Amino acid sequence: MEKKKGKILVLDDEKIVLDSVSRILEDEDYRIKTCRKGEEALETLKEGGFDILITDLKMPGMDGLQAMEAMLEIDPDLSVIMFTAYSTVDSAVKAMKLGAVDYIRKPFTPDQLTGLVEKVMIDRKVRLEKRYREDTFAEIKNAISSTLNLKEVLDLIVQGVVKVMKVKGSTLSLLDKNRDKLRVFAYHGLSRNYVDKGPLDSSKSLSETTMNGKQVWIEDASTDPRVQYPTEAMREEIASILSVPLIVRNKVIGALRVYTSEPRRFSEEEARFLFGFAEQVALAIENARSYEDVKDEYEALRDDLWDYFDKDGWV
Amino acid sequence: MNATGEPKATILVIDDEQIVHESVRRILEEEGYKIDGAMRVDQALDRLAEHSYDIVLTDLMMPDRSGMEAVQAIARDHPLTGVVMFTGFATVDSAVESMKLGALDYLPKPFTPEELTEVTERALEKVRRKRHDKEIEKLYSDAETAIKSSLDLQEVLRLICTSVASLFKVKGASVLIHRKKDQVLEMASQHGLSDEYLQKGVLDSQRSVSEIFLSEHPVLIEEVNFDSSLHYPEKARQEGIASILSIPLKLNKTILGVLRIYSAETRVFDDEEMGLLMKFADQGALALENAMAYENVRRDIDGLKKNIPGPLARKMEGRD
Repeated sequence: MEKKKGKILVLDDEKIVLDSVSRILEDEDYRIKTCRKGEEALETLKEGGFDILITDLKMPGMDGLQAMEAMLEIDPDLSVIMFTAYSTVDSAVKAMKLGAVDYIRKPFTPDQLTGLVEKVMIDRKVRLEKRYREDTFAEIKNAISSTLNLKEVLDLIVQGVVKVMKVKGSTLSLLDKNRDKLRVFAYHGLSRNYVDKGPLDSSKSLSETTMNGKQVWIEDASTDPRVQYPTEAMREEIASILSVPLIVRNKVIGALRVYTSEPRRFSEEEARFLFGFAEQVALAIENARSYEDVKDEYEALRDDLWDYFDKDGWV
Repeated sequence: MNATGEPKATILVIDDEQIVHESVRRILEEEGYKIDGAMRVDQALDRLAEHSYDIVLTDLMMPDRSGMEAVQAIARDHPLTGVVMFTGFATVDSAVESMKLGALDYLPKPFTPEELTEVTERALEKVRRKRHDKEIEKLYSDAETAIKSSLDLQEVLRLICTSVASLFKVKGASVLIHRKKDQVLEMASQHGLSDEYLQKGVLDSQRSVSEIFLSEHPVLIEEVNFDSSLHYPEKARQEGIASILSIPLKLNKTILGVLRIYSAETRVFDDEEMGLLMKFADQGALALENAMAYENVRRDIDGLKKNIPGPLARKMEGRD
């Protein structure tokens, strides 16, 4: 069976409304459940997996407002559309305050209904994705904060960003000591060949912009003049690249990049999110580096001592 | 105006009818609000660019632009200002549409003074909550970034205490670290407490806040329970502490120590605040663990340095 576009619960005391909504939306490949009473709808909601509730406001018994409130209590993510036919301004305002996202006036045409449902499904997806990003980011951040091992920190970052941004792959590059070459220190979802294509010259435009603390978005990596290795990008089937700087205490230390396999526009919210992600992980990288430095210092000192004693033939 | 002479809030009214301005002004000024008026949407948006208002009350049907546009512009450009629409042509469509665009409420005209006051107050309440949440969110994220930006143990401890005190606007905060060898809680850092209070001594983790070690959950001790729950109840009273909230600093399954929050008046932490506190404590514990690991290596280095024989030390110094 083909995957349905969404699962919708319809609540109305009029059978004719339920029948017509079912017919219209089932034709559009939505899964529909109908109920004529609020109590019944509450029971049905418990089977789970519903995306949208379409409800009348005025019904005998438990009215639409009460039903909607109780259902949002059970599933706060449910997107509620209300029918407005005989409803009053007051009840419509109340429904909006309770969390309804839109309304449709009865009678409606099939196009009006499917158009609205599609729009609500899109808004819902955007909202849930935003939350997915926030939740996943919180988990990744915890994992990153739990270690001071530089390799582990870098690996967690590149794996995490692929998961959280739902992209093909990612790279994390750090500036070398002279601050003129970016070298890839960790990557995920990309081939070794692509990653080893060569150092990125930080004076080339893509890198340069990143080094100035700005983010760079490249829609088509095969033709964009800012890309240093377009052929390699094509062979790797990379379509779009988003690059953000890693900044610690106002100083750029490297770049975090995500790669997509299809041309993709990142919303402003997504771009801002990645920027914030980079900001937070940059601190973790800096901490892990400091720790590594102090470890090195310790080991050098220990070796010096060892050599000193060994030379004298004490061991 | 209230007793201090400050208005309760500032409100901008948009309506093309002078009589509406007059009646709204009369009703709301009496309630202690400061009222400004605009006859047109454009004029109102100019005002909003210059002044910050708490609430905008806008008419729907006006000759230049619709009140709907005002709602949209304010929701987009001034998200921390609340908008309420009022109209003599109330319909379900415009009511729902205005709220979809971001209006907090919708009031059909004509309205009674009570209705207007009630709607305004409710809207103001929502705006204040939104501003508060926004502020807390910003403070929290700054605090989290701050504690993670250092590996200096004393600095991390200090930042945990100062951040948590300013985040929740309380008298003081401290971090007690659990010393395993003798099972005591030792104060590692504090903020906002007097020297006198600090000299009270170490706490036996078996007795004081032992609940934390049993349940691993936060424990709130109020003044009435100081005698039965605290080691030094009198000291706490002298310090002017009304309640102490203790939150375990957990790492995996072990308890590293306790984060304590001291309030000068009886302070209730709601679920949201408690959630935030627990989250902050978890991040604090991670930051502490990292700083401790760093500190340990530093200590090892110092230990080695003490044992460096004279000739080698001179040689190493020369090399540096």
